[in-house]
Amino acid sequence: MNSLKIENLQASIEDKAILHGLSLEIPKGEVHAIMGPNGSGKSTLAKVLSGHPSYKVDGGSATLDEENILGLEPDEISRLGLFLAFQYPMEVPGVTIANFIRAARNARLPEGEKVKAVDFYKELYEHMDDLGMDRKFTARSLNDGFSGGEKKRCEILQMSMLSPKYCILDETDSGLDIDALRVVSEGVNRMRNPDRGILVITHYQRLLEYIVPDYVHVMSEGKIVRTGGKELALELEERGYDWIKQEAVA
Amino acid sequence: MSLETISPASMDTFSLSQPHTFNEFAESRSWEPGWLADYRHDCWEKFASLPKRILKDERWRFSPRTRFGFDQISGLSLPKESLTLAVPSLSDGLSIDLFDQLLLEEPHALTLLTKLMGPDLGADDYSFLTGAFAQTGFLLRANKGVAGVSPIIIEHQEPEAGQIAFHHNLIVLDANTEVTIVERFVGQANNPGGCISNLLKVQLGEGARLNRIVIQECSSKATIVQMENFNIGKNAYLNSTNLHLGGSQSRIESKGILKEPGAHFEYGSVFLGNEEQLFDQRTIQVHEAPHCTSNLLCKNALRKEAKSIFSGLIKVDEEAQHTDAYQTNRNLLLSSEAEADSLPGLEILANEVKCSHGATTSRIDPQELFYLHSRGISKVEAEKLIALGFLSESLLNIDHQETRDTALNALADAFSS
Ligand SMILES: Nc1ncnc2c1ncn2[C@@H]1O[C@H](COP(=O)(O)OP(=O)(O)OP(=O)(O)O)[C@@H](O)[C@H]1O
Ligand SMILES: [Mg+2]
Repeated sequence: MNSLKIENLQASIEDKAILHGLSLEIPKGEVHAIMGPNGSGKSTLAKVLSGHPSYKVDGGSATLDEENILGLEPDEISRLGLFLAFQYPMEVPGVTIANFIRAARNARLPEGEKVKAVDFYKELYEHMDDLGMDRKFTARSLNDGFSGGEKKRCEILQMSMLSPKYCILDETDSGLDIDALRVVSEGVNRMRNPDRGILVITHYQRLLEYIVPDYVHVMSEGKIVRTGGKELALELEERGYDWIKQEAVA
Repeated sequence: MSLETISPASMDTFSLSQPHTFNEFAESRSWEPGWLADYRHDCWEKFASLPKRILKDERWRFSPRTRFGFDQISGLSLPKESLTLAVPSLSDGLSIDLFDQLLLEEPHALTLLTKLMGPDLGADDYSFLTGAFAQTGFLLRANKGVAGVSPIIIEHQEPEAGQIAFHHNLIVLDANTEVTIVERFVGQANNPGGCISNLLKVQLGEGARLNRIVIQECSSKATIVQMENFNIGKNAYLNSTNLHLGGSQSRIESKGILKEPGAHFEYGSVFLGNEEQLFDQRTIQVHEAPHCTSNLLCKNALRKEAKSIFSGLIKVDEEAQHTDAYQTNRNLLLSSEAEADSLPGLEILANEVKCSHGATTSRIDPQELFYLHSRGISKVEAEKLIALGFLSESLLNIDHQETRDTALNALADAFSS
């Protein structure tokens, strides 16, 4: 089946186990949300799936349209079609946004081929306009000195320019003002289509009013402990996480 | 009078350290004016009396000096091919001429060459030998108030293996002039591996502005010694931006002297090192007068076993109150074998000054690399992007767009090779 499928995934960092047998499947065309307390391992999941070298996979599997991604290099995983919008995007002084995205696009072309500069900029500017980003940003160093909200927009810009098959958005809503939240959500909604699966990690039910999920999962201590419809997010907002943790233990 | 020069073949035992080599050379130049013959002789004497054994010398600290020896040199390059000019149509009062031509037509114009000093930062041997043997060079002059529109292109050609080219150059800009020059050091395709010894003396009058861009793309076997001395007058402005790519070993000595109030010295250099390239750079910003500013930024990115040395001094004399002087050296190591040495220094005798110096050596941050990686960019491409980003910053302030593009493309190409 065409999906991002994670089965019994176990992973650790510096000998500390974080993911304890996590299973989750995101079929193409669906939007899933993960909510969960701080430190429960949400970002860890996202980074393990992207091939971050600091994490060690201790067991389980993860496939993208039935192709294994565990143990691959981050660039290979990305080219297979997985995109992670980071919770804390890194600053890369000296590398401009335009050059960065262009290199990422070129990396997807056959050896020796390059995107045409004119076409590339046209497309880039269109996406920037949609996201309400000033065109001057293309010449700025990647995330260097950007405000929190600007960094998040820049992540969504990259996502729309790379049209991945599966997207993971790690707390893209945190740090956004109300207008930015709407603009960014619209950007994500534009990317919603039957050929793309989206996983949204968030702490706030509010985001899910803009990006309405098909399913909501609750993560606690490195596992999915509950799955429900979008109404689950509302319930969590009201009751917090404790009742789920207790139910999970019981 | 003849323009005949000694070719490498005409001497059977050419050796730069042997008096007979100089004597035969001087003989072949007997048609030159007496003051020049005297100058050559004087330079030769100074060279000959340098201590034979290289003792511990602070000015060569960290440098494998033997890589700059003369043993392999068996002849002088032919001056005609060694230096060429591409000159746009020049305004009246602005001129650029070749040393050898001027010797025939207007020899007295060259007298200043013998009066101005070199940077005197360690390569005495090259400096004296250039004074003694140079048969070519350029002389750029601008009369009061003249401004050149497009840049003047000067091309220094790497000689063939075994040969050395001595270029002795002079720039004199009178008051309120503005000139842009691009100096290219180009490689030798046939039999690479020659040596260029380039000595440049610059004098800027009141309010004069000189923009100088250097792009060095010699072969990977060449030896390059660049010595430059900038004398900056009242309210004058000098900007020297340097891109160093080629050469097996390069020694760069740059001295900016802020001689009168209001002078400004801007210096930027970029080196991308590969294989076993050595880049040995010595700079000094000398503040002799009050209310002057100087700003120096030297960046090196090193791959494989490349090595760079940066030694820079800011010297502020007692009279030079209200000085603003900055010096920064940044090195990016792209392999575990690459090596960067840094010796920043301050010597401040005035009390009303703003000075800072800093040196950093770093590697690519693994988190940055992961970020690029996670967008599908391969490790090699990611390193290239980061390193180019690091280096190109300094080239972005080249005003002349065509030259800026040339420099940026040369840098990107060098990375791909
Ligand atoms: N280098 C490390 N060494 C040890 N523990 C680490 C390391 N990095 C992360 N952790 C731990 O892993 C756990 C999971 O962190 P993670 O960032 O995945 O949580 P999260 O669910 O995304 O939290 P938040 O909601 O705050 O973003 C945390 O307890 C964190 O302290
Ligand atoms: Mg997190």
